[in-house]
Amino acid sequence: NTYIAMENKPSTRLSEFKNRSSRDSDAARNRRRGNNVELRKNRRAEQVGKRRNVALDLEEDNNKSVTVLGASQSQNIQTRVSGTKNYETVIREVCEAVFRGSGTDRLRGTTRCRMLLSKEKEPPIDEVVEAGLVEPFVQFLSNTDAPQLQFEAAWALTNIASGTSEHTHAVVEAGAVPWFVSLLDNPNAEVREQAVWALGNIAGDGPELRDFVISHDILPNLLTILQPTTKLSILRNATWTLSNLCRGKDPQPDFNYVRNGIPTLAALLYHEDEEIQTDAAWAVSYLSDGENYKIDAVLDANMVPRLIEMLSSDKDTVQTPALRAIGNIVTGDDSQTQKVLEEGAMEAFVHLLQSTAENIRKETCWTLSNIAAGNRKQIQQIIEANLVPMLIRLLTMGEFRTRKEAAWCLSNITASGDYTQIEHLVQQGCLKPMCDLLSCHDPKLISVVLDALANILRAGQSSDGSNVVADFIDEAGGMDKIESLQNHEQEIIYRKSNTIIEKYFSEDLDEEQTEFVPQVGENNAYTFNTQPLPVDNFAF
Amino acid sequence: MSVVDALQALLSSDQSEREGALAWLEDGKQSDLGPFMQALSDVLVDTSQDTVVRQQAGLQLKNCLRSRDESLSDQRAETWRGFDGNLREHIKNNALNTIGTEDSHPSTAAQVIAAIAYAEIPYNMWPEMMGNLLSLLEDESNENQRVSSLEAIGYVCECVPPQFLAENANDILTGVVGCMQSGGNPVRKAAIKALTNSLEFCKANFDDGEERNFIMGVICEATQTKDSDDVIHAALACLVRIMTLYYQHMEEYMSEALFPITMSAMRSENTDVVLQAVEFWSNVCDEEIDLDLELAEATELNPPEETSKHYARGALEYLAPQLLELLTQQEEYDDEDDWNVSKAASVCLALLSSCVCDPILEYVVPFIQNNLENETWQFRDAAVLAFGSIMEGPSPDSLFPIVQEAILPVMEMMKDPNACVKDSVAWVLGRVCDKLPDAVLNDTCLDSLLITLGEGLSMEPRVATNVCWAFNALAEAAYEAAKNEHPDAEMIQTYALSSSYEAIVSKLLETTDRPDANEANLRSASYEALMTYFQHYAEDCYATTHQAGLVILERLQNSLGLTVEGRDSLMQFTELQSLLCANLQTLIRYLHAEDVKVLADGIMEILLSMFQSQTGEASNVQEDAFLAVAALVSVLEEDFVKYMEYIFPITVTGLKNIEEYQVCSVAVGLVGDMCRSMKQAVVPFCDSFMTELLSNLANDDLDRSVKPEILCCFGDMAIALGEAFVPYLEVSLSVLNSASQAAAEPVQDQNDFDLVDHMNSLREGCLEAFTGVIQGLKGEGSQPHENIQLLTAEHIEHIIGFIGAIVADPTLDNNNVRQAIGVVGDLCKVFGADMAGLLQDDWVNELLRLGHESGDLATEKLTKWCQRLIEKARHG
Repeated sequence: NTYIAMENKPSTRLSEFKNRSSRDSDAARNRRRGNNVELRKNRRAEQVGKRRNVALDLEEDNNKSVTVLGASQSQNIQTRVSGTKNYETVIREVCEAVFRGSGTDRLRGTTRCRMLLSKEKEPPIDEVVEAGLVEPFVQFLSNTDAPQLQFEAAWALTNIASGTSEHTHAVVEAGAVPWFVSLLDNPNAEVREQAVWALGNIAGDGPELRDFVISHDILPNLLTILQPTTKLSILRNATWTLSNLCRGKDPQPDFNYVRNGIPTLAALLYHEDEEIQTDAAWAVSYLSDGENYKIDAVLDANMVPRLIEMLSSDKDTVQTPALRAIGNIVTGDDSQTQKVLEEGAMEAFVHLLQSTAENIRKETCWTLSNIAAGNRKQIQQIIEANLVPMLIRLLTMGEFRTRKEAAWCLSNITASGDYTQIEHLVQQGCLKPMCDLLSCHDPKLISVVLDALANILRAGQSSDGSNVVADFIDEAGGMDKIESLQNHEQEIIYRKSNTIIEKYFSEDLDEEQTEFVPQVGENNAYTFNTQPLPVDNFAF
Repeated sequence: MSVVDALQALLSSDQSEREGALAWLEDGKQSDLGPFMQALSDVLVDTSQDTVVRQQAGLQLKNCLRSRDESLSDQRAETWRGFDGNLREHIKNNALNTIGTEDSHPSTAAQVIAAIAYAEIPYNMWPEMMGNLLSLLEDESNENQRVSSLEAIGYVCECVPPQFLAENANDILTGVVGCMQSGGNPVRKAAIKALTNSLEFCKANFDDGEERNFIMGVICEATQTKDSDDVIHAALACLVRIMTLYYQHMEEYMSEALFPITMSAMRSENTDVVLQAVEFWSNVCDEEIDLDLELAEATELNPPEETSKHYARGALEYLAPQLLELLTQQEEYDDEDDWNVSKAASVCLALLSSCVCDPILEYVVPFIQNNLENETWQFRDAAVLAFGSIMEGPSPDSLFPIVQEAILPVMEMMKDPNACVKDSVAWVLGRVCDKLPDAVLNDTCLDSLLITLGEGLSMEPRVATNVCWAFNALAEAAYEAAKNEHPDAEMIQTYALSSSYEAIVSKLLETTDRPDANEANLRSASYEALMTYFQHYAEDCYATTHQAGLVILERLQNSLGLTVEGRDSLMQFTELQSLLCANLQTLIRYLHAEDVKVLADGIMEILLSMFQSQTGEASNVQEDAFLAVAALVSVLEEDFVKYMEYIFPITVTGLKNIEEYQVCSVAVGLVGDMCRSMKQAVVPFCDSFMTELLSNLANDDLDRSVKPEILCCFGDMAIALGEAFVPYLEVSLSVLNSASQAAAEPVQDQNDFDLVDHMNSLREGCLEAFTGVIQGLKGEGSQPHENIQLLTAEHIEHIIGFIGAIVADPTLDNNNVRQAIGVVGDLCKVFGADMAGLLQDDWVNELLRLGHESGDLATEKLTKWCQRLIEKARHG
């Protein structure tokens, strides 16, 4: 009964050997106890769950207000789905009416199913698809004699297509797309609207279905609808559908096809309705995302002045797509960028960098970083708009992603800028926050900052060997950080920091200390030298 | 008898004399502890007394102050602090004065000092203690005194919580490190041990580069001592601890010192030194595995504070070959419970594999290939162990071809002449089934595997035990694979083991009956394996499972007629009955209900006679038997009533079993199950149950883990009884009132996980009970029963107050959140607008937020439901 001090811990390690720990019969008993307690808890929860009728309560509530899609449909009859009946019964009755009933039964069944699918919370799309109702609904689309049935079927299908990707595919596979495209010029406005909506949902599923819709040549009919005289609700839906046609990468849509929508989009940007403006701007941003000829197509339509106007909106929902479009355009060549600058984008950026929305600040930094990668004249415009102090401030505040973009922007200035432009950055105090960023955990950002510092150091080198920038960096604690980055696990960072230290700070280093700097090898591991025998004198 | 006489008599060869002395000493402690301790300390310090008598005095004295049981230690420490100051002073001086006068080590006076320090230091009652001990180090010529004093410092640092010693850190380090530099080997060894125990409160010193360099230098030098393996061993143990505590500071020492030191220590002649060196790298791997996990969980905004330096990956090319070499150093006659170099190397290799993943294969795979057929069994065994060690870490894609190539030759080795090799083979096969089931669940492999394992089951018990484990892993893997193939199937119709299921089960049944099944835990392992098969069968194996159920029942029946004598046989016998009950319980849960119903009479008859048999008193038998009854209750539901008159008194006895609290706990659970399954039919028994449950709640001697279960049981009863619960309402609510007051207390120390768990289960108990009471009173109808009015405004305020309080506590778990949301929803549903005034935004919003963010679908749905009801209550 004495104390046993600090001996090894064989007892715990021993249990790790082979499967000794699982042999203990007490452990087995404990497992049985645990299982039993778990089982009991589940049963208890099940019992209380049944009594609470959570699902029923939630449903009763939902049925009070069956939601109607789109303002124009509000005049339609609302048959209330009885709260006591569950979906199964309703769907069975719908099937009965749709498959076997008379014309009126069909209309009533389809309407009822559409109501069910219009529930705000958890509409039973799965159940409706499984009941095989999609095919008859698609057939009803062709039923020109019964416009009301066409309309209800279109509506039901729209809601099914708004479900999961699987649901959307079910609608497409039943052959709905060609019908919907042809319904776009249906004399009945409500049917037209429903078709627009359904096609928007389908195209929005992803590149595959988007291109499928395009292959049915939707655009002529859609563009006909997109006239200023069209009713607002249809116009909104159609704009959204058009933006879905332009949207998506891997692959992007066929540009030669979708560019036909550009003149219409240019007009829609000026529409007084914000929702339409926004969706049109999103479409433009998708179109401008890519090769320079796409950017040219957008520039030729003279959309930039309007996009820049939109940057000054007081709603970030409007600003965001416009900014993305502008940002995409300035990824182009210098002359394309220049066109944006000539329209006065810089003033807008001043305003955007101070936005309260994090995302706007981030996207603005990203846009500016692409401008900064251009020529010195364009960099000079950034400086003259007095954006540098703001960018430096963003290095130190806000979310990480914003700081990262700001760092890219400043780094690009140091890469393309001339001596005076780099000097301006230093005078505005960029060194300290840059050095601070060196202790972050993102290797990519560290690498960007190291590039920037290297560029600034190069500019600061005097012919007499002195370097005022090096002194600044040292004072800001940067040298220590760069030094310790030589141990970074990523080779590129190790190399960059090593080069900086060798070139600009080597005389400050104590020779002895370098011996302790461990080597970092290729496979991201600590590298040990060959095995030196231990020496007796361990004076660290 | 004098104290000296008694102490002397403790060492007598005559048993009655020893017992007499013990009784006398015990009496002394009981009658007047203070003076008794003083007398012991006078003997301890008296150099004219015999050495062994003084040692005994010291040990007795220490035992008056500390016990292995921590709560008892705290109690004794409190008694000590209550003693008169002069008395304590006297004993403390005696203990200090003894330092340096003993001829043997470790010093007993040192242990006494540590025991007193444990009682006094946290209360700042002995501030000069450390100074006194340190001053005893100064006389460099007195080696004995320095060693004892260092031992005392070591013990003190080990048992007193570090925060109370941090202010002494500098002085302790100065004194201890000084001894390491100036003393002989015994002094250095004691100094290193003291240092090792001080590390935890030396953080400030380790953060200071210069001090750290100095300390590390001294320890590293000690690892190079030429003439004392003890010092080397102690120094390496110290480095192991430092590695764990100060991993982030080790960079500058790693390649210069720690790496070469440990690599060369692994080649030492001295086993203890090798073990410490291996332990060093096991700890490095542990640490780096943890750091990688933390990194994986970290986010950009919440980066990890520390990251891995990947020492293990860097050392891999040197470390792996060294460990493989150590792996071959098995002892010829290995005791399974001994820790040795080969086992340490195996564990370290497995950790290294988890740490570095794929790159380990480059080193281990050739070793396996080259040694599977080695003439020396140690090398063959090492190859198999190495194979098992890499099953975790490398990606399945990399492992698959290797396993595919090696598995057949490894299976062949089940015929190896050496038991240790076969044991390892069985283990590896289990590992493969567990970690890479696809490699064995195929036509080429499965048949051979089944034959190999079947043969293994007849081998030495230790081999057969590991085979049982492999059979477990195989059943789980095969079942899992079938389930993945048919995710929606309610029952698995057939699976990979269908054609061999019958053979496996009958072989396992045979194994449980082996005459040597007592060895190496084989009986329990084979019954455990059977249970796994009863849980993981496909429907086309049902007849076999059913048949095996009858065998188990028969065995249980037969066991009742046996009488057993002798302690060992009795223990084995109760173990057997307990395992049979556990098997029965599994079968009741997993056989088709209609078959269980047919067997129910027979089952109950056996269980009832077992409760009344000789072994029925053994707590583990009772526990498993109660669990079997509970399983039956859940299957039979109302039909169970016919057995109630028999099982009822036994259940009450179980509820009274406070001492074997696990028995009491399963009895409480059983009562809950009875209520849930039999509903109103349980009413006649509830008076007695309630009496027992209430008296248990009030009993301080009952283990605290049972009390929340009793509260849950109230809930079960309230729901089952409905209107019939009304007579118990007042008393239950008043008990719940005080329980929930205790449960509403915020948890002070959030790192005290046991306390957090306990508080959360207490909260769970209260919430379940409230749920039961509300549900029970309101009844099942769509309109609340008028009984609900018995829940007064005061009660409701109390419940809501309780929930409001616990929502603020960050230790609240998701389970509690769900239950609390349920209770709030229930109350709003019943009382509607009357609740509005009680639903303050702050806690309601927080509770709903917790529910929405719980990540659990059922909870989220319940939260929506509750939110609606709250809105209705507020706005109609």
